[in-house]
Amino acid sequence: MMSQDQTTVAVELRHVVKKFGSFTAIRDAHLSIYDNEFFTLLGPSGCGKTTLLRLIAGFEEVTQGQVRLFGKDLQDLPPNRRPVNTVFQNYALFPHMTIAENVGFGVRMKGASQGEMQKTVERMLELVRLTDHAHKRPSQLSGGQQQRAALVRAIAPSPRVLLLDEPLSALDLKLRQAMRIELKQLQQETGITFIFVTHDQEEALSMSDRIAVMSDGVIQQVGPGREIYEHPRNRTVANFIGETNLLGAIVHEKSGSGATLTLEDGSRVMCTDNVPVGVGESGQVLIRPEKIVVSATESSSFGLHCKLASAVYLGTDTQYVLRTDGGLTLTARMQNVDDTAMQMSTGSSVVAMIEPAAIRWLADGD
Amino acid sequence: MSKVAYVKRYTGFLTMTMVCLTILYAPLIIVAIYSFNSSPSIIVWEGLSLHWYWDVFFGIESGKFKTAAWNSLSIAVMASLTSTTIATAAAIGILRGRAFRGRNLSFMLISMPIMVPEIVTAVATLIFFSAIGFVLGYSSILVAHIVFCIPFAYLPIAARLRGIEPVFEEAALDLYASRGQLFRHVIFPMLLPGILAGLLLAFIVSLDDFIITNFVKGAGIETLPTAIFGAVKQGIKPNIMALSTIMLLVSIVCVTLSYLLSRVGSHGGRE
Repeated sequence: MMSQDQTTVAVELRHVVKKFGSFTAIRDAHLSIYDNEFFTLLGPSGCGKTTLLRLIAGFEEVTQGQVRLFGKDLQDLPPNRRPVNTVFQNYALFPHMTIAENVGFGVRMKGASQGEMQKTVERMLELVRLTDHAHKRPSQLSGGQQQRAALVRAIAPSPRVLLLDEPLSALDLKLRQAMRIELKQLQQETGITFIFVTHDQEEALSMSDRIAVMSDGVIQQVGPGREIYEHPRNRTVANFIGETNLLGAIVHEKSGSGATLTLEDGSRVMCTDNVPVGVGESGQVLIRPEKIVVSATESSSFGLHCKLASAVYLGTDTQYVLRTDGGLTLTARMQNVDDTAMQMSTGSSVVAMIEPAAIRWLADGD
Repeated sequence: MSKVAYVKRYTGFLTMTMVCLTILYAPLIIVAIYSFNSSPSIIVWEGLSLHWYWDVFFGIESGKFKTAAWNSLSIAVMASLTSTTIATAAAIGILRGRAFRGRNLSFMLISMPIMVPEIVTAVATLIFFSAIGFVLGYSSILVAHIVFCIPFAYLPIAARLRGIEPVFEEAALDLYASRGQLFRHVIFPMLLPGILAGLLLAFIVSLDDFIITNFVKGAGIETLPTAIFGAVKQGIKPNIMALSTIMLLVSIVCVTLSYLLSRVGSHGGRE
């Protein structure tokens, strides 16, 4: 759909380190964000994602390393001279200006003529359907309208890169979902590189071209959403994105198409993932709850015999906690397509079926 | 309005309130009422009249009062404008500059003149002026007023600035504003109610000051408070009451405006 130019690097972080006193907020961040990309920094609060954004915006200075924008080192360039704009978490719309004045602020500061500014403001307000609210104060607008005003205020001066610091976190769920679509469309229409910060994995997965998962100031993994979800590089990423079953395993046998693994409780499973270690060596495997099929009747050869410890009804799906006969705990999630859920009662014997392709060997054992 | 700790329920609350209010305001009210007395006596009521107000503006002493009023007003205007400018710069420097050692200390130092007994400041200022050979007169009053008005102007400005989140400044910088534009288009307008509140407070503090003025004014120059004090020494005439009532009115207006301004935008201004 969009013509993503994989060759032009918009923002490049070269071994960036940021310390606040003795606290290290960013450890050796090394990252390239491409032009025209919707890039998300995802991580729990305090992981350093906002700090990284502030380093790009120029509100903080790097302790070590370089932040480069289209090949140019940004060191010593104050925020008002970087072609980068920010959408702040609580919008930070100037309360003493009208919406039109707010949206026109950046264009005006850049030295545009009155007419030029007015044209830009009109175009921007139209883009987010706020034309009727042009002469209102921010306090007279709803949260969603303020959000959209903040968005076009940052886009109006045509920045090369737009930074968004958890811009949807103050909105309620329905509005948040609508804004996701709007944001993505806006990014595609304007062709501006978006760097989006969030702790919400659904937000990240639904909008991003690529995601960087961060924790403790370290960029853990960078890649498209699907890759991060399906092939997390380590435990931290696996745990942060989605629910997981993390199990210890020993390689029992290797064949051309994969391996047979012995789980902690002694049961054997087939795995078609790339297992880079030899027979007899141990590691960890990951199984996503939705890849486990729970059934009351045994119908497959790779089933694990379990007792149903609990079943929690969650509307669209049901979450099952299973205890294998060997004492291992597994979490499974199945869509409520029929009444299967009701037919299995707590304590009854069930079979958990896991496709060999659903078992992931974690490359980083940590 | 919880029933448990509602202060009105304590016995004697009403009596106590009335006693306090009476002690505070009865003298002021009596002065105001008697300023409309037609009698030259300050205790015997004869009838309603604006005679003493006429006397303030056109009577025998009116020339003296007019000169004193002009001195008071011109000093109050210049002192409040200068001290508010200094206080604004100080507030931005202290609260928005880079963190520095002694940030809290500098705040205490600035507000110290409010805590120190005024007579001590007065004596110290006089000694200082004598030591440096500063000739006492109009300009010595002005300088002293500028100095002691700074903390009064600083407090509402600093309070306002503390309420403005730094993110607005970041947003302005992010949107290409220079330091000057940042101040002109964002900080100043957002700080304006605080600045005006500080200005009015400084104005009224300067206009009403007696102790320091009396020490540093030198001979031959009077402000309104020192002129009133001088007149009272020869016995209280009702024209003093009329003059006092006028000053009281000006004070009330300024303080009320200052209070209202300091509240602007702090409720429902954002969100």
